[in-house]
Amino acid sequence: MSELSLENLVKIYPFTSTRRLFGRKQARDMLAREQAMPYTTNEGVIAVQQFSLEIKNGEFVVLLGPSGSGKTSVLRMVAGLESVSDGTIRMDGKVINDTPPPDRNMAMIFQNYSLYPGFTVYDNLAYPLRNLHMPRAQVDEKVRAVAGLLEMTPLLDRRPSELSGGQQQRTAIGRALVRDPGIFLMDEPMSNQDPALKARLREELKRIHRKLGTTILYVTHDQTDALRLGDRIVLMQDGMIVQAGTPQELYQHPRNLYCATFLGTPQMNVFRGIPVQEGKIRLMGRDISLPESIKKAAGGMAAVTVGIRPVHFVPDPRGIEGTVDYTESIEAECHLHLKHGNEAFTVVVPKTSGRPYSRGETVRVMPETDRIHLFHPQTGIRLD
Amino acid sequence: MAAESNVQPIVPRSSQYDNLLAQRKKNRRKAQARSALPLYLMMLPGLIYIICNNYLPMFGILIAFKKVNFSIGIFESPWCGLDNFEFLFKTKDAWIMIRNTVCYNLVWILLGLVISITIAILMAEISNRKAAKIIQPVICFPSMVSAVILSFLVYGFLSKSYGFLNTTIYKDHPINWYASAQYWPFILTIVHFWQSSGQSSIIYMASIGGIDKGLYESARIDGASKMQQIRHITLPMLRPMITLMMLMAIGKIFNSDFGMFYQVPLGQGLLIKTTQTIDTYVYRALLEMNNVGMSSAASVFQAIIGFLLVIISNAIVRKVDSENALF
Repeated sequence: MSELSLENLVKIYPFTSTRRLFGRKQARDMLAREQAMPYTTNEGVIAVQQFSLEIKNGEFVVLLGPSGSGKTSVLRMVAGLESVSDGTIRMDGKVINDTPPPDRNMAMIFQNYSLYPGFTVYDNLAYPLRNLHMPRAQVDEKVRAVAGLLEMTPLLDRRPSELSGGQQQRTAIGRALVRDPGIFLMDEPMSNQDPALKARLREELKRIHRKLGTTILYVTHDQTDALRLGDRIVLMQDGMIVQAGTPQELYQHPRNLYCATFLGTPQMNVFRGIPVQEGKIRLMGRDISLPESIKKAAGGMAAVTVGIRPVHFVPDPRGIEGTVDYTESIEAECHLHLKHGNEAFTVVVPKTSGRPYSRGETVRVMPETDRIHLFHPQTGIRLD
Repeated sequence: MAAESNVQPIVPRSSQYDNLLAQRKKNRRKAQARSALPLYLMMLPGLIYIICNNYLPMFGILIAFKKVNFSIGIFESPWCGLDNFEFLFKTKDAWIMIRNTVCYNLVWILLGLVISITIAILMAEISNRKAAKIIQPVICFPSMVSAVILSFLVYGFLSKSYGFLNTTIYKDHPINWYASAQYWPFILTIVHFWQSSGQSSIIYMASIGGIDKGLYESARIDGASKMQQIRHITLPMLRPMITLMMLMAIGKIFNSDFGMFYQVPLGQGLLIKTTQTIDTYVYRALLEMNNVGMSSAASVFQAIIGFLLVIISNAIVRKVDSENALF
């Protein structure tokens, strides 16, 4: 177990070179596109900027964000696979910016597991130890201990091509575990799996983390993985941290509209609300009372952005009127996609709540007062 | 009685129903044929080419079993059984040409594998993309040089009076290269690899390019050296391609590059001991003896042995490593 401290990390990728013999037009177009990107310097495109994060011993931290948000660049800089343009990486207080990857006491699990194809499971697990020139008996002991922990002893003689997705992932975890590293780095290790297997793998990973208490830095674009696995989620956008906190904090108190809409399935409904009097807001023709905490936030503004999660609506005969556009029946829930004039929004109701809904039917719903979020209409920053 | 009348008797399917099914099947087949018609049309030029160029000449096999008399035509010429084959193998050069063909091929297959893979790995390791883009065409260029040009290039090096070697290294003791058969296995091997290894390494380069970079990064984190990465990642990942290339090369083990063995030694009769292969022998037999039957017999022999060797080696590969077998 180790602590990790990332201070003002910056990663800049150089611009595409136009000094080539062939494909000069394509290179020029590419360069123009790169230079038009929002975050560039004279040196190149900024992938990560001013990224600061403290990861405590035994913590499971998830870097969450869409493609191109810089999360993998952060992970690769921590692993030593990418150079750091600026900033400091400390592990247990020691600066490791220029330490070669094998000497960082970290293990990494890749998206497609990267198991050595010509090796058996046993050899894959033993490989990092053999590179450390560990005595054969000790290697054998460690490999068998890890295989036992991961319930993989019967699979030790198989090759990666003979393993299922779950078994391959366990082998990759085993190969990381066997080195007894201070930190585990995981780069979207479940993105290739089907949902059922993913759920099982999540449980398994959680179990291993509970059992060993290792520090884990996990990268994903899947909010379900992040919400279910992480002790702490770091949401990223354009190479910067948008919000870092526990899954509940991010879900219940999103710092801005981006965070609010990124987390939660179905996505949070976003409306334009007009403050009518203190503590009330007009939403689709209905005056809605605001919770105590944000009553004064909208004061003096002509309009605000209102965010309400689909699960935070309740049927109410005096509520907002919506016409059912279409419905989705998902597990124990029914997702109603409603229309009110030009506004479209989604409401989740439990299936057990009543009759089935049909297209064109009118329903009336009301948001739960204390679950309404207000955001600045221009900046998208939370108002409270 | 009422209960009995409700029971539906099991009756055989009516012929009308069978006819309906048959009609449906026929319609489905027609629809499939209609939808596949453009594909068949696209295939047609290639098919015609293969039939004309590869299959129709196969009737030439007949020549290997006939005593050809051009005045009466191939088909009217009398059959001679295996006489042409017997004549081919009874000549004093039979052993030399078969030995040379097989030995050169064996050495070139094995050495070629090592050289091509080494070049491919070195090319893949060049981190300077600009340098790689210059080196790649440069090493592939010799494969575009024709045999005649190649023979003059070699002559420039080996000419007794004006050759580079005799005017520099062997200035005091010039060697008559074109009269000394013992040097030619080495000369031909060097020339062959100079000409072909760049091109053959491209296939391996493409395969290396397809290897998941994550494997190398994973190995780096596990503390593997460059050599260990090559041994444990690159070579196992290249195995299917190596097997494929080997099988293809084995199929041609009784063939030889005519230009290399005839043009480069300038057709010198003094070098026959080390430069005569089945292909050059066939050419010489046609030129000198005008024996079409024997030349055809040699080609049939090459084709049949090549085919058998591919089948046998593929069977061995299938037994050892079924995943990498061709068929």
